[in-house]
Amino acid sequence: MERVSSKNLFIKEVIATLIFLTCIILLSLLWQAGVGANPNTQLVEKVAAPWIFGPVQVLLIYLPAWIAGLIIPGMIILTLSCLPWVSKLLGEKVARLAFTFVIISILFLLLWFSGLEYWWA
Amino acid sequence: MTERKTNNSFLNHLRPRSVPRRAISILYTFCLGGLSFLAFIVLGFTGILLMFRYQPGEQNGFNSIVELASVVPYGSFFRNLHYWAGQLMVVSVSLHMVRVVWTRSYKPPKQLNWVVGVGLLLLTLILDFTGYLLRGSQESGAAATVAVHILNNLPGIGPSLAYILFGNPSPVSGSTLNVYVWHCVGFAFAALSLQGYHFWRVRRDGGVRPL
Repeated sequence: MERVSSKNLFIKEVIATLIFLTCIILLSLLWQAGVGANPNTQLVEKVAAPWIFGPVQVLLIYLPAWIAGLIIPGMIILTLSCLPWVSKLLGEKVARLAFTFVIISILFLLLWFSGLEYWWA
Repeated sequence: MTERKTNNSFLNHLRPRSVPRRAISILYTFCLGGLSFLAFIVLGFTGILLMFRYQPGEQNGFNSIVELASVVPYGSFFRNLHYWAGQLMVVSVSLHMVRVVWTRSYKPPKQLNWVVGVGLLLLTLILDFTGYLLRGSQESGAAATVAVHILNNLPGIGPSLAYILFGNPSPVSGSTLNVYVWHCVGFAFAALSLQGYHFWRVRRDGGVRPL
């Protein structure tokens, strides 16, 4: 296998760093991070979770807390962790199918959450 | 002597003098792992700056966030940087995981590093959640209440675990000393240590695979 000096890798890392830092500084200058509702004022009626936890919030609306908050996230983590062994025992196709199913389910719940958030607003 | 040798070996694995030519192609990794680490560095740097003014607590949490966002010079900018780095880290870690599956890089001998990566994804989400709680707003209070309720469903250790992680959060503010310590020390250092091991292991297992 042909090898090259890690200087080449370093140059690409510096370029990626500069692009990333520029993007993040622009985002920080253009969009403010919200502070939320003051705890000392009147209580807000509907609280949407941050988008990262939107899928869990959707599940919590329709399912008992122990299923939505423990069993389903736990099964997702377990499925992801076992992927190399699923691939070894049941075949790569099954492992990829399981991973695709997890990703599509999360994206579907995220889309559902976006609809709810829009509806609540 | 042995310790020095071990250190050199660790550093040489992290930064070898030469790398496979394919490893420097952007299309192999899209730099997603490196960008996630960079976001983590930005989070650490801005987090330390925020710690100079932030005070956890039902009243203090929200007040110090408002002070940072509106009174402290450059406080708003550094808080925005912290927030956006957190958001981008979740995105880049998730995409990194998809890339790893796409390139079949989870297969032996990299199965252990895959599990470490899943742990890092989990830690990233937990760090994001605890950071959200530290805003001390009504929304964070609701989130903390839900999280405590969920953990209380765990048989046996649930209530104790909820107390260790969240303390006694108020329904209108999730900012507690427990959450603050876990966010700034416990989870942050666990993520840093696992990342060091993850990068070392990537090199040790032969680097990235071709697309």
